[in-house]
Amino acid sequence: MITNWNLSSYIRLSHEVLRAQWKGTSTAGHWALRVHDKTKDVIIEAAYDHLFVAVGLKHYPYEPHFEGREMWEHSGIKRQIYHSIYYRSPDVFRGKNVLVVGAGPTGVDIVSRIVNIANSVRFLWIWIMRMILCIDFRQRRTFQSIQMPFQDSPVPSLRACT
Amino acid sequence: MKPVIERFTSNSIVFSDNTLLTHIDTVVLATGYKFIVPFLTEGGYLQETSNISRLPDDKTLRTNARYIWPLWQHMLSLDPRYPLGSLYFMSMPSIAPTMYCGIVQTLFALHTIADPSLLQSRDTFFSHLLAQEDRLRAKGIDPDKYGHSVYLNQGSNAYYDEIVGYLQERGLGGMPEIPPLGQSYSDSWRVFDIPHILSVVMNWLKVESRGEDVVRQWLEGVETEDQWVALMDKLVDLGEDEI
Repeated sequence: MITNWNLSSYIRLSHEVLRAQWKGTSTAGHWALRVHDKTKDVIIEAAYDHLFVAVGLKHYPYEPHFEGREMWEHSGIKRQIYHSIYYRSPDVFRGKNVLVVGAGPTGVDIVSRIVNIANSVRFLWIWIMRMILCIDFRQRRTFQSIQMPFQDSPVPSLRACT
Repeated sequence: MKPVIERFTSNSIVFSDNTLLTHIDTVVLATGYKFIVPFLTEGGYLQETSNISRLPDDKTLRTNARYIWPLWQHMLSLDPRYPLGSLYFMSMPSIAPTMYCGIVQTLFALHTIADPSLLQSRDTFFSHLLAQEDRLRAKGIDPDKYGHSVYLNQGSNAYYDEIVGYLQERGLGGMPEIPPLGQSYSDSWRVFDIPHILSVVMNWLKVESRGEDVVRQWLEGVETEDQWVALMDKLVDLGEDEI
C-alpha cells in the first residue's frame, strides 16, 4: 500500500515524539513537535496543523492499588502478582493456584489458556458496577475438550450474574 | 458472587464481604491500561490528574489514566486552546473491535480535516459529551472510570453508526466506505450482544460434539453471508432435540 500510494517519503521510522505543544490560539496556530530521530540520534523540531494520537493506548499497565499487596507477595515462597502485559506463556502456571482479576477479553483469554495447566484457577469476573463473580474451575476436564471457559455456566445464569 | 478485593494480608486475599482466599500463589491483573500520552503531557496539553474535575470554565484536556476528558466520541479533543480538528485520538474505545473502530474514526477525522465546516460548534459537541456521561451515571456507571467503554455507552455497533451517521447527515453518504444516507454502517447481524454470541459458540460446540456427520449436515449448502447469518440465528435458541 505504501508503494502503491507513494507514501514512503511521509513516513518516519525510528522517530520518537518527545513533546507536542500548540503554538497559537483557539482559532489558528500549529503543533510544535520535538522529535528524537533515532536513526541519526538528533533532536528535530517540526510543525504540523493536525495531530493524530494513534500510538496505541494499550502500553502502560493499569493496576488498581491493593492494600497489603507487597506484604502478601513477600510472605510466601514464590508468590507473584503481576499485570497481564507480562503474560507470555501458559507453561509458567503449571502447578500454580492462580487468581485472574479482570474479565475483559484479556482475562478471558488467559483463563482459557491456563485452565488446563494450572493446579487451580479462580477468575474474578468484574462486570463493572462492582458486581463480581468468582468462578472456581473445578470441572476442568470439560474445558480440556472445548477450551471455552464458560461451558459449564449456561448463558441465562451468566446473564443473571451480570 | 464475590465482591471486590479489599486488601491483601500476609497469608490471604480478603474480599469486601470478609471472605478469604488463602491457597492462591499467583495473581494476574488483567486490569487494563493507563490512558496517558507522555509527549502531550510534557508539552502541557494533557494534564495528568487524580480526578477529572469538571469546572465550568476549564475545559483543557486532562486524564486520570482511565479517562481522557473532554473528548467527543472518544476521539475529538474539545480543548479550547486550539481549533476543533487539531487533535484526534485513535482507537481509544475499549471492548470494541479495533479494525472497525479505526476505520470509522479515520473516516471522521479525514473528512473533517478536509472540510472543517463539517464540524459542529465546540459547545454542541460538549453538550453531547455531557449527555453521554449523564446516561452512564443513570446506569450507575462512573464515566471517569468506564467512560471509554463503548460497550457500556451505546455498544460498539451503535458507536460506529453514530459516527458514520454524522457524516451521512452532512452529505457524505455514498463516499468511499460510507453507505448512502438511511443505510446503517453495521451489518444487522453484527448487532449481537454478548450473551447471544456465547449462545452461538456454546451451541455450536454441542453440534461439534455430535461428530463430523452432524457438522457436515449443518454446514451443507451454507455459503453466502446470509446463509451463515441464518445459521447463527438458528444456533442462538437451539433446543437439545434440534441438534
